[in-house]
Amino acid sequence: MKQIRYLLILFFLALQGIASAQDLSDRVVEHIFPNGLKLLMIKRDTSPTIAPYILFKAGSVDESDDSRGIAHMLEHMLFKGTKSIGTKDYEKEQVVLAEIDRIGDALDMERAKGSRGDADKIAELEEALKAQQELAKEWIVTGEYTEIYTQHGSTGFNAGTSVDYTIYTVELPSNKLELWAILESDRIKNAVLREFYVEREAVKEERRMRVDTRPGGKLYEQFMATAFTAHPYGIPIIGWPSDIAMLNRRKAEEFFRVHYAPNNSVMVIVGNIDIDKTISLIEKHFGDIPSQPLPPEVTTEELPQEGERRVDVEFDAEPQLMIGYHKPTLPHFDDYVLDFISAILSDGRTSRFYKNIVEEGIAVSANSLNGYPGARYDNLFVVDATPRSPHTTADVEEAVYAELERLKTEPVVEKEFKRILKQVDASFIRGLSSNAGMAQQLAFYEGIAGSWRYILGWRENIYKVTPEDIMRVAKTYFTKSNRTVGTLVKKEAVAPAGEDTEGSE
Amino acid sequence: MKKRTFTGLAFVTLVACLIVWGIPSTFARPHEELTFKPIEFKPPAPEKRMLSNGMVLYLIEDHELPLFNINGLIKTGDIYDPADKVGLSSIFASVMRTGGTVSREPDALNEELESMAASVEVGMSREYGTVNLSTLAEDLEKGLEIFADVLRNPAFREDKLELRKQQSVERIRRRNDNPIQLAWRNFSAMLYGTDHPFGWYTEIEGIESITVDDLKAFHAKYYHPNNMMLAITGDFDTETLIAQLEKVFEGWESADIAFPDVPTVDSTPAASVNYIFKDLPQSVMLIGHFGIKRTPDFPDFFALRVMNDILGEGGFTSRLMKEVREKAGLAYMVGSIMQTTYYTNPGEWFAYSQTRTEKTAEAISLIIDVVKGLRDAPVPDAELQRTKDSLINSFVFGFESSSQIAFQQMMLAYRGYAPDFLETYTDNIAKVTAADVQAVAQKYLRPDALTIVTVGNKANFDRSLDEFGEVNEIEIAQPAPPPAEPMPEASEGDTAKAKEVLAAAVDAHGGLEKLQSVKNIVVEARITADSPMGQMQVEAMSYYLYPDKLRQDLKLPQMEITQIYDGSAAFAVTPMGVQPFPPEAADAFKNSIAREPVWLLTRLLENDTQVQYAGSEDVQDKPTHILLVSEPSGEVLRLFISDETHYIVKLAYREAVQGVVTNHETFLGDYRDVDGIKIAHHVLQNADGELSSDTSVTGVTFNAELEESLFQEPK
Repeated sequence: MKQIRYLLILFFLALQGIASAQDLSDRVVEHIFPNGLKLLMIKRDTSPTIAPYILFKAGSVDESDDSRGIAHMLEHMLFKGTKSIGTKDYEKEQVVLAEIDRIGDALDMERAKGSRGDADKIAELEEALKAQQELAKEWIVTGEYTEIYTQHGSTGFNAGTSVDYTIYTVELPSNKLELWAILESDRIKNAVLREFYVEREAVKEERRMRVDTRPGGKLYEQFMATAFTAHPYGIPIIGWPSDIAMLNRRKAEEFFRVHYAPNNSVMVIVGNIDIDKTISLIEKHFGDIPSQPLPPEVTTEELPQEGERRVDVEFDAEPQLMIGYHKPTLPHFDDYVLDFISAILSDGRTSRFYKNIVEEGIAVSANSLNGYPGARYDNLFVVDATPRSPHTTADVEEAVYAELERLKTEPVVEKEFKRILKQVDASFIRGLSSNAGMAQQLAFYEGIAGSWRYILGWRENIYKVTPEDIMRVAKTYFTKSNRTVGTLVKKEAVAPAGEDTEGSE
Repeated sequence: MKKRTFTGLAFVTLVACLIVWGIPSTFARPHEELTFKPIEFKPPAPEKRMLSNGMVLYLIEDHELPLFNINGLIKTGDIYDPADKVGLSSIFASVMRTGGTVSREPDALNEELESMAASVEVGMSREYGTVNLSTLAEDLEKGLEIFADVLRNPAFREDKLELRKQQSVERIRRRNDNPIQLAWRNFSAMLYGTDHPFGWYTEIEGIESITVDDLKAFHAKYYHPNNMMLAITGDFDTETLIAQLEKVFEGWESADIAFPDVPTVDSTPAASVNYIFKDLPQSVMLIGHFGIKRTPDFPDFFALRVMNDILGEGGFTSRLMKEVREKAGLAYMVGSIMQTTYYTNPGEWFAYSQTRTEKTAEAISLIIDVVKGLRDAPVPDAELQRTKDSLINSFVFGFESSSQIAFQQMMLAYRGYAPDFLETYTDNIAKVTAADVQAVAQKYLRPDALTIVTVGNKANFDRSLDEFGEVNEIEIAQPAPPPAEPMPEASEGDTAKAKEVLAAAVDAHGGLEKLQSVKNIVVEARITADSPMGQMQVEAMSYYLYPDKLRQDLKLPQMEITQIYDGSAAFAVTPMGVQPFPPEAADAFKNSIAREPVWLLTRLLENDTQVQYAGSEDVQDKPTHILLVSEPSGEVLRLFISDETHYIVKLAYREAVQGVVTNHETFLGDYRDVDGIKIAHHVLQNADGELSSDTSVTGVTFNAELEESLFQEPK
């Protein structure tokens, strides 16, 4: 919730290991409760700490058209407390909350009329809303839910929303496991989405910070919107500004009710735990949450792209470049091949982009990323780069295409292969060195790939990739008609002249 | 020799739950019924050792995973950058790694490390340098050997320094793109001034002046075994490792280092309100003053830790977060940071927020109120207890991994913390009282003397910033011009072929003698030009006076304008008066004189100007030879000379104005004879591939009688 990362998951960096693959499969303990909740555990006694994570398979793709941005907004709202936390008397408070909803709805409807809205009515409603918010303060204890965690020594207490899922994270001293179980089950059973309209302002600030004032954020948003015309992967996670302006508590509660089911979630606990005691503790606090029918997956499919798409974004900043190619998501074999290709292109100082683009002075950075913006549905292989002047984005494009063409015609040599496989194995081992890192990985693959064992299969599949596969895959996807190109173009800001434009005083 | 720096540390954490609201709730609060078993935890203690050459080691064997890590610390830092070469130490750190070693070419070094999935990296901070090794345990020996090679024998190869300098220049060009960076750079510069290492930032001139010798001297000065410490963790055996380290560092002698004086700042806070324009819907604000310089005896440390947590370092539960974000909805990111770890200077303290433009003043004023609140009243007991509990209970997260533990021990020693700092930490936090918190707030927070830096668009602010003090408007200089594209290395063959093509061109245009006789040229032309208002017809009379004067009288649809370049400055004479052009535009005029074909050819043949042959290419379906010429600006000019007529048919060059690079192409056609000299009568001008003007020449005169005053600024 605080510094919510968009969790644009790159798999390749994430995972992985040789002896450790075996090690990992021995150490993960799975348990499925009758209500469909899946619990994954790793006992690790390096320090008296635990990393308990919960992932809900509910991301921005699961939103309906009239509530774009609600998955992320709900994630913020789930830090506002419950019927017993964050309030002095919920019975009295809820009367005021209902009144706030009523006025807020009327206000949103009037504002949505734009220039045809009744300014007097808006002012009147704003006053009324403010008055009710003041009344609510009598009952609300702002920030109490978070304070309990903090007081008990939490670190990394946070959450993140992606296109595919929402994840709630924290680390605690290991003697606080039951506290966590109580607080988390309480928010699933009894969350109260209070202080909605104030938080909606904070979310608007978040959007301004991440997108509207950031050259990279602007480019990313327009690039995705251009690459996806049918599939909701093209819609920003945080929502368009006009969508955020129409979010309300009712929509958030609806999304919460439909998607936050035990059978739509994965719980992972890594750290200094007793496996059996942990299972019974989770049963005690989460076992009575009923399972429920789940909404259908997204059925809209992106059509095959029939021609290059280009988008320019003008901004008061130096140029940047993004290039993307549509490709299938995991567990399609070509997705593994593209993970391999991404390593060849931009992993480390021996990579091709680094040697032939960065060291040649054409760009200050050039990276490839497989699997944007999500992995539940077919996605993109993305290249992003920052030119070095006097080189232009056109120069960088040319250099990137030259590298992609090379993949189609020159078989990758054995030395390159060996290096990448060794790195795969090493990153697998390194991935096992942090509780939080392991919790994140297990939750992600269990939730999105269907099983955490994907991590083990991933390594096996990477080992199966041949030079011929790489040439075939490069030829299949790296075509002009299958690509989207986004460029950030410098627009000089016009400074207001003289003193006569001084702000309203 | 063996010395245990701390042992037997047990964390006993008992939390008293004080959250009682006195009103019976209808809903149960089961978390309040919990009791917690105390945590008994003895973190592994690093073993401290010293090598025979004086290098200090902090070692923890950890056999959980087959990994091996070294985190090294060197006493040096950005603070030792010379004032005229700001950025030296960070460029040094990059090139120490990318430039390879004496015996390892950069590519070979990268290949060797990455083929064993290992890394060696070098870094630089304000008050220390770092060097790290990460490898699988099976490659420990090879990893150590490379690590020592990079430390002892860096080669600082010239081409890698050049690349890193280019990258620094590019960063300078981009430094105003991100409003937070822009605000921060100006905030520290406001506090420290640009004459102090904590306040200065890189500029293109300083970067350009850095040489390989500078890097070598920096290395020779600071990189000695007695000036560094290593935190070593992972799957190794201590005694074997010590022997291996002795071996790879054998013969590396310790040395006495004379550390330069670091200027100390007068840290009396002085109020200032600063504004930087950037047209964005959200303002960035930094509000603060100096932080606190660390002294060995620092009794206020613990009260400050609590105070800062309450103010804005405690994440979600801090007052700034609660008041500015959760209650007022005025920000997503809001908080504060007080630096208390620097030993040469006090660092900075600042509160930060990013708030929509139309609430800028409201947010600043709310932040200042929160700061004042900590001075004006003691912290309520519940808030104090909660904060102390949080710091005590989360203390265990400082000991999650052996590498974190060893690094922390080394860092505390480097910064001169008391040896029992960690052992007594939780007790010292527990002792802090509300009176202590208020006392340090009053002593260290100075809301009457704040430096405020706001980046945004004041046209839409809710109120003027005047209410916080007299506003100093900071003009942000344009990003530095982009670096010139260097001429490629010439071979003898290239140069000879170039001379041949050039000689043929001079002959075709009228011969050297004829061309040399031209002292001025007057051209009458009709131009169709693209302008922001659409296409425009212009009648132009241009006067070129060799070598460096130019006047153009332009008849536009609405008005007449004259542009004059007098050899150093340029101005426009318009119905509204005389306006100077920026210096860059003056350079553009100068370059356009240099590109006038008659003089360009003469100059190239007469002087021994560097000209290179760069192959052939078709222009408008006709074969041409390409010549590369170095322009006065340092940019490369490409000349395309027809293989058939030997006329110049195309010029291609880049030009930078206010940091924006444009690729220009000039197509010359319809060559006609004027007094024995061939002159193009049709000229197409492209900018970034799009047609920008189409010129038809209607008259050309050579060596006309021209008044001197034509080229002077009108009085």
